[in-house]
Amino acid sequence: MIKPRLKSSLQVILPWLLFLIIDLIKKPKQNIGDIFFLWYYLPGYVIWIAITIPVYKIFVWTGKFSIWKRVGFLVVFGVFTGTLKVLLTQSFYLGSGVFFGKIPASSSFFQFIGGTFYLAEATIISWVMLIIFYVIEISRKYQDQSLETSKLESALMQASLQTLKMQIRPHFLFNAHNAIATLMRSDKNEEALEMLLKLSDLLRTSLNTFDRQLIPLDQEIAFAKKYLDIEMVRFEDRLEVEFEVCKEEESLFVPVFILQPLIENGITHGVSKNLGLSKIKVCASTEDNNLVIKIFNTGSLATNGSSSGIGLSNVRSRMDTLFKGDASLILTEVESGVQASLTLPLLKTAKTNY
Amino acid sequence: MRTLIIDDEKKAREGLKILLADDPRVVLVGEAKDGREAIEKIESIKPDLIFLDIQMPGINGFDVLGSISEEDWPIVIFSTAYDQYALKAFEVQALDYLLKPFSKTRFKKSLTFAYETFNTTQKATLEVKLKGLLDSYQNDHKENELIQGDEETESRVIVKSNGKVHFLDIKNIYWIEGLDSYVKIHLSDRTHIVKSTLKSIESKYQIFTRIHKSHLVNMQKVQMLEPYFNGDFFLTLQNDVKVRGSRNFKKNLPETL
Repeated sequence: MIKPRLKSSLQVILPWLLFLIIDLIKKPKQNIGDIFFLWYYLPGYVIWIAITIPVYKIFVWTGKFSIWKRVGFLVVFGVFTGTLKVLLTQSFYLGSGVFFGKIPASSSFFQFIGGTFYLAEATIISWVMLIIFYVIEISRKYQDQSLETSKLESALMQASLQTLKMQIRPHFLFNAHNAIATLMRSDKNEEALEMLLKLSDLLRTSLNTFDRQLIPLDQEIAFAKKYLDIEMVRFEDRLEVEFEVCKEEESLFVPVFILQPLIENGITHGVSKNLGLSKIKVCASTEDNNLVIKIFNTGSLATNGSSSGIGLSNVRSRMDTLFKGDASLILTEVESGVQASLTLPLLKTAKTNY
Repeated sequence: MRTLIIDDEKKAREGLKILLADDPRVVLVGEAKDGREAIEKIESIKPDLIFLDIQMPGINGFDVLGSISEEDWPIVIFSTAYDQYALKAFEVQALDYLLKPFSKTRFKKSLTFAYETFNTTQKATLEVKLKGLLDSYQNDHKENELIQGDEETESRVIVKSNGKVHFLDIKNIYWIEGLDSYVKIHLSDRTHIVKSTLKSIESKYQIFTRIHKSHLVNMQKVQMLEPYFNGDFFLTLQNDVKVRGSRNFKKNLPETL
């Protein structure tokens, strides 16, 4: 296993070596063994290798500029780097040449620069180097993004598995089956069939939405209603449900499966602990450029299991991954019940800018 | 056997009724839709056999049994849709239980077993098993809760502590103290500490008046008001306990004081 430091210096040296080899192949007539030739030829590459890392650091530093400012800066910086390289190389030749007596001491430094050809060549090489850096940067960014995407995907996968677990949450599922069994025993076959269809519809929906992060609010509500339909059969006269959503809000996009876990939480902690009539109320509104969804349930915060619970923490972590700090979920105690307030950015399309 | 059905889901009760209907060994004497009703009906009707659902709102099947004195225990056929804890507990005590949904054959088997227990002296064995079940349940569930009641229970506060349900007549409650997510209910002779908030009690039971950030007082128990510094005050209750009130809540006091 190569250590990271060694690896990164190899990353710098190898491309230059490659460049050197290609360049040598282009010059077959030269005698590679000639000392003068090596003296003349190799130092340029050593200098290139030496300045690559500082140039890369400066390139990274320019990342904070806006795109056009950065391009402008890097074009000039390429010229500067090229000039610097030529200066360094020629200084070396001049110094060592005079030292070994190969070049007369009287030679002018500027005469030795070799005219504009070397300058132009070095500048172009610098530019190419910067372009390569840019390509590396883009591909790294893309890698990071796909990592982020796969993180989101796995969170969504977990959420849908969670939802699936809710439906297959044994207690829920077996009680639904028991209700169907009772309906059949009392010869209410139509009702039994209806409930069976609702149950399979719910299972199917949760399997279908697997691949999407965001769906319109009305679809999310339709899904929550299917879940509530079955809970209504179980709780019969004990549960009252109300939805309050305007047309404008219905088309806004929300994370998939965000609503049902919150409603389920309200039912397990509120409704199923309350002896009397319980209420679940869902309302959505636009406030300060945010979509605010409020889920009210009868009960008290003390029995609501505070703000923990797998369902709630999954909702929270998904909102964090999707919207960073721009979304929140707060549970508060209100008059005779608990209210979960979900604040999300306004999304008119299925795209986030995060 | 005089039989009582206890289940919070109406459909589940209906299902049991259908299965019981053609059996000459049983007479249905009632049904209960939650733990509170179950405790009351077991105590008043004294059935020979109960079908007891475990998962019910607030007061579950274990709590129901725990709240009935042992001599009143009927023969119990437990039923549950899925409750890992309960299933394990039943297995440990070798108690009979029905898993919902269940077949007619399985149901009849349980009923026959209950009938045999009823007609022989095996009831004592059942009682030992039930006691073992309750002991382990109460040992595992020590949390105290305040049960959200329905309209019928508005004159009572239902608290659950150590797997036993207490119905507190609100006329006997002097005052309630708030301690973070718990409240301490003060009666004349004892107190109950349960998981709840003053806010939820205040909104449900109008008889209690907020006189301090963490004090609710039953106004019918107030004997006298004593002013204190800065507009704060003390209320002396009929049991001579003094409860401090804050000036911020003075407006809640009735004019007569």
